[in-house]
Amino acid sequence: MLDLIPAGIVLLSEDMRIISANPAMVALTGRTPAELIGQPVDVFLAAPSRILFQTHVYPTLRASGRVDEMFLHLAGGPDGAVPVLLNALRDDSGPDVLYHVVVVRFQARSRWETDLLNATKALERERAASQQLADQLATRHDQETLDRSYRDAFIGVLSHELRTPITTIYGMSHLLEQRHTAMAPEVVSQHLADIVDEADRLHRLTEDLLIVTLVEGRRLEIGREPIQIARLIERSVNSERNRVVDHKFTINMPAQLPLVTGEDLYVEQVLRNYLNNAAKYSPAGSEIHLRAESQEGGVEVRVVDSGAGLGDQQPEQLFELLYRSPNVVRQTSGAGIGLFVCRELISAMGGRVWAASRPEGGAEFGFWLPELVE
Amino acid sequence: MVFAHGFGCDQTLWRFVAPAFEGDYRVVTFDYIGAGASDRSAYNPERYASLNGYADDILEICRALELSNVIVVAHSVSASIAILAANKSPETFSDLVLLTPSPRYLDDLPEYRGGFSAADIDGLLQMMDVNAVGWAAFLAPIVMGNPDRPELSSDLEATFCSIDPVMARQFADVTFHADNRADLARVTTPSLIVQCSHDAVAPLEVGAYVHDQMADSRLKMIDAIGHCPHVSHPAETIALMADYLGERKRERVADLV
Repeated sequence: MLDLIPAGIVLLSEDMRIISANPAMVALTGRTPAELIGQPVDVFLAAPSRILFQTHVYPTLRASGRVDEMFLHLAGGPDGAVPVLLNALRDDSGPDVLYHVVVVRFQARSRWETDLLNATKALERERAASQQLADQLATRHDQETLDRSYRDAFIGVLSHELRTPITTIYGMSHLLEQRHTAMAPEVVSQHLADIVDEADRLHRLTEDLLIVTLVEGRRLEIGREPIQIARLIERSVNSERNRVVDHKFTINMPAQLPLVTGEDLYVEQVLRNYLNNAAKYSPAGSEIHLRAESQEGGVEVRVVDSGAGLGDQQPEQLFELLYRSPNVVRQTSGAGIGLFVCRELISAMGGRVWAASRPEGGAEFGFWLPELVE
Repeated sequence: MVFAHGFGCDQTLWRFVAPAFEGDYRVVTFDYIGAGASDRSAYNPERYASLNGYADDILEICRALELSNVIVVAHSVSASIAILAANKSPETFSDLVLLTPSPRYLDDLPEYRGGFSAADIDGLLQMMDVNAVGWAAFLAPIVMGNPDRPELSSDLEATFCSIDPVMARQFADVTFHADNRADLARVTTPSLIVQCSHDAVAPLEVGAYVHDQMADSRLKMIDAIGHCPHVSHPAETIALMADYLGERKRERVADLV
């Protein structure tokens, strides 16, 4: 009867050698009965299945007495490797331990199962990829929401900064137009001075805004012309002295400084912003020192005040454009674009900027520009 | 005496051998992560991306139990793990007993024949996928409809011992792609190598190679088919281990005298 059953049936000795095999089993292996009998059973498995048999199937069979539905490949039948399902049972009821094994060909179903498994894996990969994409989109959305809120804050602050001087200029000029004949000359002078101050403030702000626009549009280009920086320093400090009367400005620099490269206009804009900033954040009557010296193949300029220093603020953060840095929005008054403009201008001229609290109190804002190479 | 199980099963396989040494030694058996009763929450794919993570586990067990003069009995890939542990901390171990070791399963022809080609190893990994291990790993979360609760899949787990499918898959990958040949020569701990005469996983020439590379090693052969002498031939395995440990004891006494 065993000869007719459509399944491979094998009897193994305790050491896994084949004692007998029915014709279906012989056919599955593509060998002759004589080639099977007495051989270790794993010889008839494909190499990967042989490892799995030795590492998983045999130990489980020995330890728990049976294995069920093991999927393995028989080696080289007439059509190459033959996928089979295997059930085995350990029998220690007789004098010798025996293993009864049943093997069924699993060709068609195994193909479907492999396809299904591969489809499942592909699906899993796609799911993971979609998840990753969804995460990326969510992150981008959060970033954009944040950017928008900073930008809104920036525009709010900017509108305020523009409106204040315009209001003064508008109000004062109207007042003068209607009533200057009735006013004492010194009152007229005072109002005119206020108008000039505010117009100056507006002018600087729009100059800075122009630079921000160029940076944002990646259109900031600065020529590399020779600059006599000592002349620019003197001019900027003198202009600031006239404008800011409640601070004392001093300059400390050697008689000779090397030529640097860039554009006069922009270096002056940086100096003006630094000096203006120092005056804004240090007490009335205090001194503001400007020091310049030749350093590391260039010129180093430092503006030192005796204000409160940087506090908890990170120096690099001070140079960020206001809407990109929420802390600065909360901490700093003013448009918060002056230092950003300084950083962008100096770096476009091949230099660098820095800020630091000084151990003896006050803050230092500095920049370095490279020497002109002939 | 610390027993370290190999790839494919758990510590219960030592039950034919370990009890024989309980009279003379403090016997410690354990499950690697993902096998048997190990705490699966301790799994960390980075730690177990190489056999070093498993070697650190052995050292941590020795430290936690305050073991010294440890004889580590290691089967199959655990032999490589034990060698890594002994090289990291030679003072912890007195002897290595390596059952059917192989420092590299892949061929590196012409100078080294591990027994398997890259295609064979890919085939094995695929074979694990197609068997219950793989089905459980890939289908359980879908069947359970809840990929965030992997513990649900434990009911569908493999038929062999109690191996976590995902961790077993990584262990297989790390094991069969490992190359620990260079670590053999660095071992200073005396060792016994036990080889089976007909082992499809660790062939004879691999045993000879290990013996040749390890300075203070002895090679013994069991006339057996298969890769698990401690399971198929426990009596012979126990006898070889006892002989070796007896010899080592006599040598130590002789050194003292």
